[in-house]
Amino acid sequence: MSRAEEELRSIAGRLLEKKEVELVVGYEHHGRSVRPCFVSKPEEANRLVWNADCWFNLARYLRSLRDRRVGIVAKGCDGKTIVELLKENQLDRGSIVVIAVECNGVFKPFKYGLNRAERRLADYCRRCVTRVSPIADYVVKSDGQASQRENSVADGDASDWLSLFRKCLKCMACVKACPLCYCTECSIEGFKPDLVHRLRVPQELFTFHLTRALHMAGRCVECGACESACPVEIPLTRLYHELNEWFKENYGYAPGRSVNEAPPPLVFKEGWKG
Amino acid sequence: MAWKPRVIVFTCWCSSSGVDQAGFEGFTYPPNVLTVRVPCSAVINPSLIVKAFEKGADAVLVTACRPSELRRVAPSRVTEARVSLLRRLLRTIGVDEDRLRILWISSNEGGLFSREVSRILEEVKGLGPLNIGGRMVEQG
Repeated sequence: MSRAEEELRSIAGRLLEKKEVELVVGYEHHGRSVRPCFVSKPEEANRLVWNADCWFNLARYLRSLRDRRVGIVAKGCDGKTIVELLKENQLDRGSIVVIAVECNGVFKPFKYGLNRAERRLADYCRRCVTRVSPIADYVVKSDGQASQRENSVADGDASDWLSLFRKCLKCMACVKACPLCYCTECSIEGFKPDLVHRLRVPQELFTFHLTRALHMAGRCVECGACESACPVEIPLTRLYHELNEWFKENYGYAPGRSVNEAPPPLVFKEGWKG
Repeated sequence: MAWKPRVIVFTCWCSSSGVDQAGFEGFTYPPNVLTVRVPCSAVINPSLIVKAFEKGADAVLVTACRPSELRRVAPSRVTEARVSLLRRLLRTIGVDEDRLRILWISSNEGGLFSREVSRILEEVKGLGPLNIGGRMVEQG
């Protein structure tokens, strides 16, 4: 057990003992990998782990736990998600305790049949520069493992997006996995044939993906949840990254940096380059 | 049957009277340009532009009031930002971004509209059919 894990467990145990939180959302060992877990007793805090397998974005659970006091183990992208949800008034800052863990990038999710030695750092982690969550009550430093992150991204291959989109099954896994997709009435999921009908499968895939991209533009924190959930492995995060680049170029805005920074579409001013 | 590009034009209330003006003044524009009138250019949902492409449009134009001629400047600027974002998205996925454009048309500029649309139509002819929805759209 590493020093970071020890620190994480002691913080979680203390929070639960003092009844500052009702439960802590974290990761636990499951088979040869890691799965999300909910710890509600102080003696169970030993279940928590932290390593490079923890790719899951735990902030997905926070909206469904809104009426309880929750502690959450947050890496960089989880923290950015919490910031975005706070900006959109989906969470109450007073009822969450963020235990930020320093992240050196996570591996791609462990898929059945894959050799463990072949695992590699996820693409979105290579692009990411956030090591610690921008919002934190407790910070757990990492053990100082050599960072495997290369900032030069090795995606020189201009992917053929149109044929990638045609592989899509419209299974809605990307929508369900995304921590920022929380509309109760989704415009691309319905059965009302106004924009996209869910059952017209080989058609409307272009509209489906571009609408989703437009809805994520300037909000996506590039946590890779959609990409990891996708059964046909469309690299969606790369698409949303391009749109975030547009926001960075035109407005100097990046999602998830600070709660006080308002998103440009809400505070649109004349004179901004559009 | 020769292929002709199909162009959808979303016109705002003011610029749609500019399109009418083209008729009054005797200017012509090609018949494969279909206009859709909306109350204001800022209410155009970008998803509808995307859907127009998927349903067989080879190019989409958005005509809006000139920001300098509006009492409130925001709507045209919002449209401009949206179109700019959408152009970036189209470029990312490998569709020529010149297939989506914004035109500033006031209600008395019929001549300008007919001139610009004919010019853009020629350019779209050079780009060829888009065929994003996975089937050819034939029209004479």
